[in-house]
Amino acid sequence: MKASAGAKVELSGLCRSYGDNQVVDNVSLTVASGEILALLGPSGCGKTTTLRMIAGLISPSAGEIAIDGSSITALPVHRRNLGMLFQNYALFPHLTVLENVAFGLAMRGLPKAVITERARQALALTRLTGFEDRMPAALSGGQQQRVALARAIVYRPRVLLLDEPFGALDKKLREEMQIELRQLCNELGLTTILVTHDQEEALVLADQIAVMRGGRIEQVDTARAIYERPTSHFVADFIGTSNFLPAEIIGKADGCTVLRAHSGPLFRSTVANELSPGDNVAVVVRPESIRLSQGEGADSMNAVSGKVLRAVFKGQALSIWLDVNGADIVASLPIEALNDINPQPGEPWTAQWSFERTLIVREQ
Amino acid sequence: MSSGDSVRASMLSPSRRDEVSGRVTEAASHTAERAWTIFSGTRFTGYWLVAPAVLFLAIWFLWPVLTMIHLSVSARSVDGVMVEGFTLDNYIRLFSSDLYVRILLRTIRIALLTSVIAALFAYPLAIAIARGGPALARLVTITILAPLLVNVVVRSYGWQTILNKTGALAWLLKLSGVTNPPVLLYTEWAVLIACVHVYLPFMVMPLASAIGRIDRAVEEAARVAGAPQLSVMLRVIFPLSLPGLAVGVSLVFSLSAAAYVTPQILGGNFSPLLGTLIEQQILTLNDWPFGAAISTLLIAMVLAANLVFLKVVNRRFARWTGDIR
Repeated sequence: MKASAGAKVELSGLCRSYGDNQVVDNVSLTVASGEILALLGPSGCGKTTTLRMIAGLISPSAGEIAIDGSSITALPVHRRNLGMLFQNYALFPHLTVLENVAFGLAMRGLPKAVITERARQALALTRLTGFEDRMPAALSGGQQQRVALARAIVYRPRVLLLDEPFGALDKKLREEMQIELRQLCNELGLTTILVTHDQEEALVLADQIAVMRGGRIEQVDTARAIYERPTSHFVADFIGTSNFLPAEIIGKADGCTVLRAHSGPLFRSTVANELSPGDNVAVVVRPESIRLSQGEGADSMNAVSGKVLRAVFKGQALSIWLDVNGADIVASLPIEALNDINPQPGEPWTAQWSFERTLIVREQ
Repeated sequence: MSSGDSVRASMLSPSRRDEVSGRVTEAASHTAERAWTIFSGTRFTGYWLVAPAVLFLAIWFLWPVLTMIHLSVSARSVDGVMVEGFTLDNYIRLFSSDLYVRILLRTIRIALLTSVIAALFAYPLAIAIARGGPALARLVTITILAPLLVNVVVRSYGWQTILNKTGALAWLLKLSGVTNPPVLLYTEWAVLIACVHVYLPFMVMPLASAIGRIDRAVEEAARVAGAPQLSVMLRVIFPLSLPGLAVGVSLVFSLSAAAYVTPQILGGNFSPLLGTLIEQQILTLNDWPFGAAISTLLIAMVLAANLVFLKVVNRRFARWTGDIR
């Protein structure tokens, strides 16, 4: 199969409500050609509804969907030329693997020989050669997933839509499939929109992540930027683990923001932000940004001291919880960097982090 | 425990005897336990549970049917006099008479046509029940089941007033400009219309249940893959609803092949079916052996048709669910 340039997808002001319930609320997004975008969020955040509106299975209450600049909002599902992977694969149980894959091509009225040839190519691409005459019920979950993928890409769709595609697979197979899918999408240059509630899946698969909450988009950025520069409490909390210290901005100088925690200590951050003095914010620190030192040393910048609550060994890292004036601060130390550090419950320790790793988010 | 054992036990020393008798009571309780296990154990529980139904059917259905079949080959009527002894005369008579063969073929034709027409009407209704909103589904279900609430005789006379020469249909056709409206009463058409009407629910219900079981995502997958509504219907919903269709066709075919009152009232003597023929032979002509032969043929025909429908569909269905490979 030839690599085809994927299409650019633009959502503008997309809304969907059921009665008084605004499920999707003014979603605007641009997915560049060949890019993989993940709609990430907890269940009920409107991510699936957004995907189904793009597919045409749900019509929007307001807003526009455009592919390569032309609106498809009014186009019926079957004329949108999209590929879609469903949560439970949704294979045609009465058709063989080859017939399943050939379905979309047959719908496009291609000659029979071409259909068979291209269906076989798609099956080869998803490593299913030899399974042509099997029935879906006789396949394992991973194989069914591949058939569904072959069926979705065989007619060179303009956009590939994935609805929680790996939910039903076990962890190891899921990770394999994620990598395979990413490679395939990149090889084919397919513009892909993925819906998931699994942050790890979004981080592994997507170039861009759109974090959704309550029908709105909270933040859109690259996986790394979302992780390293969350702009809201929700995003910082939803992706990865974060420590939150309620604080107040007291000044800005030389690209530096100075904050005072409600509990007293001062922090300095070099992370760019659009906040102004007086704003109600929280200092966010990732557990892995924290360095620990024994004893009380809270007089230096970006440091808090507390008593060790507990230490939990987690394989690659040791997690240590500190009680800092009644608030929990968790630090994650890679096992490699532990050396002789061995905090015991009850001991006083100090957590410290750099200015670059001091994130600030606005609090509601 | 055989009596030999107890004899030997009595010859043993006292202490040994105690030991043996202990074993005897143990064995007895073990036997009782096993009897209870057979009664209540998982292996046999199912048989005990179906036993009353099996018994009931054996006495009130199987036995009469066997008696009937027996009668059809053990006697014949010669000039109104019953002659006993094994004979195939009744069957030979049935197939050698042009009249009877015509009635047989008409019965099969009406049963098949009723099934096909009912199926055509049933699909949209079944889809409305399976895929429509709860209010629509309930409305359609009630409308379809309504004819079953009316007595078959009343219903048939109702159709008679609609279909006769001066009936509602003729009046409507005349109003709409048809100069010489056809009279449907006492034709096969009247029987067909009434049969479709009353047996429609037996087609709709299994179909609706089969369609309701089709994963909506499968339909959506077809649409996204480029299938317009008609193709989704023909290539996805129809094949996946076949198990329901088979049950529906089985029911409707059986019921309309065995229908008696409806064809009697609406078809009259101009287009009798097997049911009418049986009634005539048994109640009017008093030829019970011949009536039994026709009944046996009817049962055999319906049974064969059912087996074929179910077999064909079962094999297909087994492939989808992965039972047969």
